[in-house]
Amino acid sequence: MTAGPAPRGAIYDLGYEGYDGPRRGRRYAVWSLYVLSLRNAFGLGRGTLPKFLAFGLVIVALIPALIQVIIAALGPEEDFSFVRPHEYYGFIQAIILLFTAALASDLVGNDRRFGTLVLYFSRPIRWADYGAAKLAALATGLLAVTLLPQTVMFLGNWLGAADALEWAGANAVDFAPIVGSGLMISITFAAVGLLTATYAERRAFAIISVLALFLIPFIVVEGITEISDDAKYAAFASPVHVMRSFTLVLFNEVPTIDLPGSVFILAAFAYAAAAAALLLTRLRSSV
Amino acid sequence: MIPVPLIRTAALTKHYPGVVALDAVDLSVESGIVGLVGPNGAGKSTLIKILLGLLTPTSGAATVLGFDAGRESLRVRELVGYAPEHECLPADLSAVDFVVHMARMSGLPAAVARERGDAALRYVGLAEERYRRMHGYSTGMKQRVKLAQALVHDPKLLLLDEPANGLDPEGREEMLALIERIGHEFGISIVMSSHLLSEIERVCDSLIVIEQGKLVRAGEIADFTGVTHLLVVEVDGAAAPIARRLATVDVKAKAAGRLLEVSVDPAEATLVHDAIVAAVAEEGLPLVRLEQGRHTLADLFSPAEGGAPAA
Repeated sequence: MTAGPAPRGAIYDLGYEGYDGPRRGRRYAVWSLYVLSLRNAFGLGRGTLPKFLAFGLVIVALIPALIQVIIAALGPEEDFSFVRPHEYYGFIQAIILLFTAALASDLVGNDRRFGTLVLYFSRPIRWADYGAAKLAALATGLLAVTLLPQTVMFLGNWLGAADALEWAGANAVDFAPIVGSGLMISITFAAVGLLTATYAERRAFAIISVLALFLIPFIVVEGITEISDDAKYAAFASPVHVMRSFTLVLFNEVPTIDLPGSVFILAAFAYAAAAAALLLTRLRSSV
Repeated sequence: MIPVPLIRTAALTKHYPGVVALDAVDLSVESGIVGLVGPNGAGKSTLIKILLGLLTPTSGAATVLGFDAGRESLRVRELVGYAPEHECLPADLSAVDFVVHMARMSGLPAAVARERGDAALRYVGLAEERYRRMHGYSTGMKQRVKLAQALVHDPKLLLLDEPANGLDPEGREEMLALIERIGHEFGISIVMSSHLLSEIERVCDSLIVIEQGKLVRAGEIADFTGVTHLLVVEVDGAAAPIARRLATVDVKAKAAGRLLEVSVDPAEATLVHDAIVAAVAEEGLPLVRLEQGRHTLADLFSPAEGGAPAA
């Protein structure tokens, strides 16, 4: 029982080569997973539909910025704004939500649907590594619909300004809030979206669940804060409200909910951290 | 050869609420191709998942290639390749992209990962189709990709959970030949689970039998098959006269219609083969087949044999 079988046809007739070279370990594996997830999120290496969806949404998210840039370049002398940085996310809120829902359901949903998770966890990575790579991939992807249009608008306004130096002096203060809000919204939406997507088996349900989780509290909070001012604390149940107020505070504007600004800074960080922690716990129990 | 213990477990126990999946299993597995047999739900997959560090045992310990399966699971997983029983391939990626990605997940640098990913798919017999997305793949092709992704990082040990499940007889035979080649030619030790003893018998050097979480038997294949080595002979006509002819040369045979079951002592296998062929020829009947009897778990646990406790 020691002799091997005769080679069966040319296709098997290849000697095996071992590998004694370096094995790069866990951080490299997580980096690889991050890169592949980000590529897959934008449909690279996959079909036409995911590509079309992701890039289509990015283009739509850029439209208000492009309109603003065109107005700044061609428009009247006085400083007319079609959209200002702190209003931008409100303009494209639906796009950000759709992007989160579609990509979150792909990023964690596919690995669960196809049963691939167990193959990842038979590689030298830890539970949290997988979640961190997926979270980073979606957050990075989301920057394309948050930070990217804001940056395009910022640079376009600058280039279109009659006096670039004067414009920079007046608007440079916006740059840190643009980066801060872009990062916070991307990370929080990514974590909440991925967490929700892990609960839905099918792709369509995952997308609907993610949308519902953002939209239902949003509509409820909008409704009850109209009726009663005492209901302002309900805003914390709505991630969109928390992110909106956080953004307004960063841009030194008055939040629509009548609470001190620092509360929304704390709430935003708490949201991001809680969703990320729940996501990692959730993944751990799934193999 | 240095006898490296592939796997060692001591009183390994895993409880789920209301179920004992593994019950104080003591094992020592040496290199080669090892079969892990037991009915569905016997604890085979639980054992494999504990060895990979995917599950934490309730009590007891397990080491794989000298590393603790729990505390040093990342070291273990660098050296082990795993192919699960169920579907696990992303349908929207090509086989080559996926296997290369899995190589990188095991720490192989990008260029090496590409090279070995391609090679692994060729070893398992996937040619041009490896560039196609996997959603159109047959069960056989998927099983091959599962094997390739387990092999791609040059593991010292392969853990294969029901690798031939769901395949047609021809596909099963090819898969088993592939496993045998990997184990005996490539020199990679393999633990493969199966609920079919015939599969294990076909390729494995040794065998572990578990049932209801308990180790029933463990040992060399010959220890198991030596007792009831059966040859199945089929002729194109009544088999009874052949049985009578064999009886005259002291070969015990049982005829049933066109079939003949012959007990063979492995030491005299060649003699018995010759006797059968001679007897068939003398009867002037065409020989349809002559093959090793297919043992099943049912045979192994039949009352006649008894369930001898494990060593």
